Amino acid sequence: MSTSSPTQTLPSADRRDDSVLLRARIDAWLADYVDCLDGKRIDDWPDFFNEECFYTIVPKENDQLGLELGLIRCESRAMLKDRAYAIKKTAMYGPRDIRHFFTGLVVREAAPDLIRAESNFLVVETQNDMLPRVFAVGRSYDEITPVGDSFRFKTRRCVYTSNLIPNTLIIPI
Amino acid sequence: MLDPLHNRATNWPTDGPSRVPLWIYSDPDLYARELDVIFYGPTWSYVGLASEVPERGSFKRTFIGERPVIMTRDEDGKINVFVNRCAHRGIEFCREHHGKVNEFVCPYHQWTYDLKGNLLGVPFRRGVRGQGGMPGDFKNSEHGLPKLQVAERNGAVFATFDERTQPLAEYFGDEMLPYFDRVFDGRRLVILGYSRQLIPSNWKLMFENIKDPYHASLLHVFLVSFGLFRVDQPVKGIMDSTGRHSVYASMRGEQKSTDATRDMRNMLSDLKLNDARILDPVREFPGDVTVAMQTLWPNLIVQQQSNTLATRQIIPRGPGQHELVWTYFGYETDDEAMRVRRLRQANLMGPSGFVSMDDSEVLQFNQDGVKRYPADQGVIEMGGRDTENTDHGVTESAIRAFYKYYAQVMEL
Repeated sequence: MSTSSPTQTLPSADRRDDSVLLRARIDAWLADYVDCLDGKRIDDWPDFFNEECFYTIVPKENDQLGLELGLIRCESRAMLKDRAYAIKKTAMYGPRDIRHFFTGLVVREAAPDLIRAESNFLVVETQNDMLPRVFAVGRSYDEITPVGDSFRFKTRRCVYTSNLIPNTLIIPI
Repeated sequence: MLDPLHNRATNWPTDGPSRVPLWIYSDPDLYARELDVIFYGPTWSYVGLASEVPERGSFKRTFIGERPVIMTRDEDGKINVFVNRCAHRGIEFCREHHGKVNEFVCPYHQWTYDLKGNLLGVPFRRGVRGQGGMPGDFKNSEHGLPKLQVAERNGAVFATFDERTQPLAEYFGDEMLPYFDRVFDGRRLVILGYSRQLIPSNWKLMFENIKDPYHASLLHVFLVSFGLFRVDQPVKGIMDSTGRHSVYASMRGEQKSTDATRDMRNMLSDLKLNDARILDPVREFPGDVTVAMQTLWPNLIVQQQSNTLATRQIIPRGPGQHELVWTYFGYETDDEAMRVRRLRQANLMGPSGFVSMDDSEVLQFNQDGVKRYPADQGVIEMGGRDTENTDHGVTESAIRAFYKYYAQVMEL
């Protein structure tokens, strides 16, 4: 049986700790983002984005065909605020509980002023008279700006794999 | 008549189309008959846009009723529609929504079809080392994929299983054609993208929704608050001579209160967008109409709301649900600003649309109600009990016209 030391194959402790720390910080921030959406604090949702930003949710089909059309397309924080207002004041929808699960965060690129990250998302929806159901699954492609000791999205593109939405997507991903 | 098994009527109420029996939304036997009589009968079903199959070998997989079909462009540049079901053992062999091929090969035994659906080859047809093989009288020409009749009008493609279906223009009728040709005006269409939703309601409720200008001023706070469609605006409701197709056309009004808005409890007259680019419509069609929603029997809604254009294709998935496929498009002549404008305005529509999400939610509530009270009836009396065209939107006459025709076709 081999007894070679595992430390020899690992990157230097400093670099590794830096990247683990960055990932942990982004992960903690994403947990706040989920807390905002699942906690029905939609008013706070636009604050997770830069004033100049781009947010969209697209089916895999459009993504593969190079088609831009999304279920939601917001080209500024102001547009995100309009979306939040519509969800709160103008839209009619039945009672539901939405839980977001973000996993497998990877940092593709970490420059001082811009981080490119990806993660999987799973959205579980519970409506009255219904068992919880997997509502959507997919991957998000994010460009994140460091702001002080926190972050903001510059772009967030959520690609869902099913193409088919179970009726309506009210709460963003 | 009373159905002894289900203890409910099986025919239409004697009051005519101002009453709709609720069992028609959930009855499995009626649904099976609808597929045969309506979707597989003498009707033109929308299958797609010609731009979706731009080149030789391009294909699109779709459905008519519940039947899978494929639309292709062949070597001659012609559009074909044939069944997506291998002539051999019934495999639904094409699984991708879109793509490009030279031929179709069923993965099971590799029966191969050309772009017109003709059978090209059968492996081991002559046997192996003198053993097996198809009988000597087996002819490829007798085992192609069943082909549908196809009709194209200005870039929109329709197909039918029934050879007796009347010509497309005649099928739409003189009342519908001007509105159809207004959006499909012959310019080459550019696909902007798709969205698909599974709506937990009977397919007819989707049609009712579009034939119902009454709800638009009440359910859709976003729509009324921004004056995109309101009952106090000029509204024209037009049906074809049969009542199966309809169009509602209107003009965008101002964002102000009038005597009619008093009943619109939900109207928010002080609503202001933070980013006005979502609603930045540019006039692009002749005339004053800013919104025209057309329903074409049995599976198509043509949407023109400001600059967002889409076909909405209804695919029934059992009596209690249907898939709605939205294909958003623009024109080859669009500049970049118009392309982006259409993509932005698409925020109004689809499974997350500022307007449309109200509809699919309410359709779920609708199905939940009607399926549990099949012996009861809906009341469709707004604007009277007749089925005439109207020059206002305080009416349900297009729903009545639809059910008058439906009851006749279904022999209820």
